[in-house]
Amino acid sequence: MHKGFQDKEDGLIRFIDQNRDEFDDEVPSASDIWNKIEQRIDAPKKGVLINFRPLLKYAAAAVFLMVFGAAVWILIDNRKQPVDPALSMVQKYYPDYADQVVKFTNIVEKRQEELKKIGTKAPGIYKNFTTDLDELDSVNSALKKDLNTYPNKEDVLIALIENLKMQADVLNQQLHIIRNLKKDSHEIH
Amino acid sequence: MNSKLIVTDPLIELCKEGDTKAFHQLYLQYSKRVYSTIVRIAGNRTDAEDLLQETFVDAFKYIKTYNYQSHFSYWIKRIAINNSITHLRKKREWVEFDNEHHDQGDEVVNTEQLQTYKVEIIKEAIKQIPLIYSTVFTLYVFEGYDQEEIAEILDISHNTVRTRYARAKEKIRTLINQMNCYA
Repeated sequence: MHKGFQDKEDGLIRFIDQNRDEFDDEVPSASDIWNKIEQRIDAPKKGVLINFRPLLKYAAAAVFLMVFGAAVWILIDNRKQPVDPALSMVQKYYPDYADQVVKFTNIVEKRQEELKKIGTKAPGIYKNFTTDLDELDSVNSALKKDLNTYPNKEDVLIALIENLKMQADVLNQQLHIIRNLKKDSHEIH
Repeated sequence: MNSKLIVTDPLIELCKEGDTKAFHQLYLQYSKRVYSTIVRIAGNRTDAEDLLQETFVDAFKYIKTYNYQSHFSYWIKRIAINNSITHLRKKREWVEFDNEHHDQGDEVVNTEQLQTYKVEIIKEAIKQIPLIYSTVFTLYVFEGYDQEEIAEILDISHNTVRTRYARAKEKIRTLINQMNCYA
């Protein structure tokens, strides 16, 4: 289990291994820790996040991703521009993830552009999609802050990429809905 | 791509859907172990309680990113460890020694004699040695990280990890001897 130090026969290490559970018996003295945690994790329910429809929760992350992806793209294209330290860190330490973010951001952008063109023919539903997305702008800064502060950045990046893929799928569905509406409309008339 | 079968945990899946009751169960299941890890690293219980709170709030916030690639206890303890180290650095309790000599490393003289070990005495000894040593010792012996991982977590060289580990053991043994004498 322990790689690197050749001290399995060390009496101290062996004793700790054999009595491991007894070292994990610390109990916090404050009895209200869970209450404090609960208050903090319940808070978003009263705010914007939990009120979103499932589709929009993905979209919230996806909107952030577009901004994030575009920023990574700018970082790659123009290194002389001042950059967000978090994005600089991603490009430096997680280049593979940065490449994937750029790749899926491009797909999302193309689909958004297409949706925008088709959307002019079905302005009502298109407005619904975009109005909902506009409401999520405030969430972006919170998500970006998380990338700056959350220690396990790799986990966050993996989730971001997954969400970006999801957003591409969501846009596909939106395109499908609008195309079907157009088709039905032609058939009726 | 990794195609191995992933067995999901229903409790964790409920937490991913935002179920706070399920998360309370998860808290009851893991808080003792997570808190013990934090106490060993942070070195004091008041800070450890705040860090425990931060860790579980972060875990709830990011539980959707948990993908079963490692055991959940390892995942949540990694959050706890990162939070604890960030906290120590902010408090400037993390005093780096510029003049650390790496020539001793694993070769530090093994002073282990016929010692009698007791859990409480070992815990106290770990608490008393400087944090730069106790952290390396804790990450290796209690959390199971290897040298390379410890170097990455603490942002120090492999040589420094080896030196600190050897010195940690040395200091802990000396303290155990002293405490046994007075016991």
